[in-house]
Amino acid sequence: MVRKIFAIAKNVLINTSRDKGALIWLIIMPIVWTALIGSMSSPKSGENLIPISIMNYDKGAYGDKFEEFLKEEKDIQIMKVSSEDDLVKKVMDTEIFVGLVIPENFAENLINDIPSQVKLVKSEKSSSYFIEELLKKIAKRISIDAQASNFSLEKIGTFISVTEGAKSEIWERAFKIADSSFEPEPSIKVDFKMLSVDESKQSLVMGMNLSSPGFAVMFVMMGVFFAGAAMVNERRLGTLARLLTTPTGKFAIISGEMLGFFLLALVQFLILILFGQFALGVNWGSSPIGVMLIVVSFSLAVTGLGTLLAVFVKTSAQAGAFAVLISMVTSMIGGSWWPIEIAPKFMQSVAKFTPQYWAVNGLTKLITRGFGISSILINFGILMGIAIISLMLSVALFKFGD
Amino acid sequence: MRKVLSIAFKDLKLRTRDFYAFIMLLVMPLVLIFFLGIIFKPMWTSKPFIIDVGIIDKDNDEISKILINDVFSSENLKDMLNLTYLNSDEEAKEEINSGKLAAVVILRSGFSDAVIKGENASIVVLGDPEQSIKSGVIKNIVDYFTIEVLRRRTIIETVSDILAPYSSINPQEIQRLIPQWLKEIEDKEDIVIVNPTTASKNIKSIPPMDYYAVGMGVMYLLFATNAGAETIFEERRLKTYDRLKTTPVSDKNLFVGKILGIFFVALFQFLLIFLFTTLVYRVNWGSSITGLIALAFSSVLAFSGFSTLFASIAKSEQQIGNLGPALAMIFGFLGGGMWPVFTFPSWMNLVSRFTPNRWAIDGFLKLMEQNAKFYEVLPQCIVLLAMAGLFFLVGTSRLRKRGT
Repeated sequence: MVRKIFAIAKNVLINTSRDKGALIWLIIMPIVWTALIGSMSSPKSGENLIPISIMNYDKGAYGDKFEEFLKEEKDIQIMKVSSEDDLVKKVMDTEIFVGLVIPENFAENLINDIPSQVKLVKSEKSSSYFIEELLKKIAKRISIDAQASNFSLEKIGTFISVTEGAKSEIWERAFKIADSSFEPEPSIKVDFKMLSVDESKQSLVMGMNLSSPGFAVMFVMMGVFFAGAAMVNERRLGTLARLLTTPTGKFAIISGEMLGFFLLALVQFLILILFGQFALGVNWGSSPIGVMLIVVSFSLAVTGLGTLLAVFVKTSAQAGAFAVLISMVTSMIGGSWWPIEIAPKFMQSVAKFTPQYWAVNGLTKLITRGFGISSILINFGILMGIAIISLMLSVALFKFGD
Repeated sequence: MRKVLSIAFKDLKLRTRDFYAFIMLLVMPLVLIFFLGIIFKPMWTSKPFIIDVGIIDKDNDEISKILINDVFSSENLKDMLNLTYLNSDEEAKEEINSGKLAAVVILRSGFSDAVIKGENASIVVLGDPEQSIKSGVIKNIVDYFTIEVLRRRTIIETVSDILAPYSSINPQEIQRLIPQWLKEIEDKEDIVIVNPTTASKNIKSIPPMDYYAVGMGVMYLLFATNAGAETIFEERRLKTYDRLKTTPVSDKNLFVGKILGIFFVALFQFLLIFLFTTLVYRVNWGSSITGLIALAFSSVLAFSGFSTLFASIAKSEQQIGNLGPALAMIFGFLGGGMWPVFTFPSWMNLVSRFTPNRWAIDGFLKLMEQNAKFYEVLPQCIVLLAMAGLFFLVGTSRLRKRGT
C-alpha cells in the first residue's frame, strides 16, 4: 500500500512539474513578487540616499552652518537648485523629497534673538516624515546654540560692560561652546535598540525580512490549492473514479493525493527559502529545525485545507477562483503583505484565525527575533491542529465522483 | 457593423454566465477593496493607534518624573499611550518579545544625577521589530524630551563657561544664579522654526476605501481584458472560428468583433465596480462625470490594447491564462494600485510610468483628490490613448499575420 501511495504522490508531482503555468505560479511569480514588494518596503538604507535641496538666502554665516550640519547626515544627498521656483517644481515632480528655504536675515535674526522661519517645501505625493524629523532636529540644534549665545551675552552684561566689538566675538565663542554638546553626538540622547537578532543592524519585520516568509507562505498555500483544483478536474474527467477499479484502496488514493500536495508544498517552500537566504540575504538559517517545524506544519495545514476546498467545489474553474481569492485575502489579513501592527485591533484578532498568521509569526520569531525552537512550539501546535482537523474532515468527506 | 456588435455582445453574454469570471473579475476586486479599505483605515485617520508602552524607572528622580508625569501623561499623549510599569530588563524583553508591548522606555538609576552633573546620559528605548512604526513613535517622543533637557543644560553650561574666565565675576555667584536662570530659559521658544508648506494646490486626502476602489478597479481591468484575449485562443481550440467562417461574416468583422468584445467586458466590469463601490462602500469618485467617463474609456482601451498585444505574442491559451494574472498583479503593484507610488524607491517610480495602471490611477485620483475637471485629466487620457494606439497597432498586425 505504501508503494501505491507513493506512486500516486509521485504522479501529482510529475503532473505539476510538467505544467509550465505551475512553474510560473509556484516559483517565478513568488520570487518576482517577494523581490518587488520587499524592495519597496525596505527601510531606507545607506545606498538609498534621500535627495533634498536647499535654497540659502542668508547673508550671514549661519545659513551655511545649517547646510554644513545637513551634509553630516548620512541618509541624505543635497541636490543643486537654481531658484526657489525650481526647488518647488522639483518637489512637485518628486525629483527631490523636500526643499528647504533659509531666509535672507537668518543669521541676523539668530544674533538678535528673533525667531526665523525656515520654509520646508514638501509634496502631498511623497512621504517625508523621516526627513522632516531630521530637519527639525538640526533646526533645534541651531536654535539651542543661538539661545545659549544670546543668553550668555545677556548675562555677561549684568556683570561687566562689554564693547560692541567684543560682543560678536563672545557670541561666536558661545555658539561653539554650546554646539560642542552635540559633537560627536548629543550628550543627552536616546539609546534605541530593536530587540532583533542583530541589534547592530536593527533588522525589522519589514522589507525582505517580511516579504520572504510572508509571500512564501502565501504562494505555497496558493500552489497547493491549485493542485487541489487539478484534482477536481481528475474527478470530473472520471480518472479518479477509474483508479478505484484498480486494486488500490480508497484510503491509498486519498493519502497518495494528499502526500503529493504535501511534498509539492515542501519543495516549493524549500526553493523560496533558499532564494530568500541566498539572493535576498534574509536570515533563514538561525534555527533550521525551527524553520522546518513551521514549514512542515504549515504545509500539512494547507494540504488539509486544499483538499477540503477540492471536496466542496464542483469544477476546477471554481476551485481555481477560490484558490486565488482565499489565499490572497487570508494572507493580507494574516500579515503576509504588511506588518500586522498597522491593522486595526479587531483585524489583528481576526488574523489569528488564519494559518498564515501563525506561520509568518513563527518564522518572524526565528528570522528577525532570532529565537529558538521553544518559542515557536505554540505556532507549531496550532498549525498542526489546523492540519489534523482539516485532514480528517477532508478524508471523511472525500468524493471520487460528482 | 451589426455583425461586429453581435459578436462582441456574445462575448459579454458568455462572461456574465461564467462562474470563474464572476469570482475573478467581480467578487475578487470588491472583496479586496473591502479588506484593504478597513485594514489601512488607521493609517489615514489623525489619531492612528494606541501604543502599548512599558516604563522602567530606576532613576526615580527629578527628570524621570518629568518625563513620566508631564510628557507621557500630557493632554496630547495620554490617550495615545497605554502605559505599563515594569521592574526589570528581563521583564521588558519578555513583554516585547511576546508582542504585548511595542516599546519599553528604561530610565537607569542615576540618570537625573548625570544630567545635572553635566555627564553623558541616555535613556534606553527597546523596540519590537514587528512593531517598528509604533516603537519609532515612542523613540521620537523620548528624543524630543532628551533634546529639551539638553537645551537647558547646554544654555547653563555655555553661560558658565563664558563667564568663568572673568576674575571680576565670583564663581559662587554664578552657582547661586543657576536656579533662577533655569526658570528664565524654561519657556523660551525655539528661534529656528521649521515651517512645512505643501507644494501643490488643495489636495484632500481620501479614505483608503476610495484609494483601493481606484487601485483595484484599474488592476482588475487587465484581468478582464486578459480573460477576453484568452477567448481568441479558445474559439480556435473549440473550432467555433472555423464554424463562424461558414457564415457570411468576414474575417475582418470577426476580428474587430472579438476585440470589441474584450473592450465591452472590461467596460462592463468597471461599470459594475464603480456602481457597487459608490452605492455600497460609499466611495466618492469625484465630481466630474465627463472626466470619469473619458478616463474609464481610455483606460479600458489601453488595457484592451495591451491584451490584444499579449494575445499576439502568446503561444497558447494556457500561456495567457497563467501569465496574464501574474502580469496583471505586477502591473497593478507597479502602477500604484496596492501602495501609493510615493512610497516607491525612485527606480520603481520610473518603471511605473510604463504601465497603463499608473496613468489611469493618477487620473482617477486627480478627480477624487483635487476635484479635477475634465480638461485636467486630459493628459492622462492622452497617454492612455497613445498606449492603446501603440498596443493595437502592433497587436493587430501581428494577429492578422498569424490569421484567425
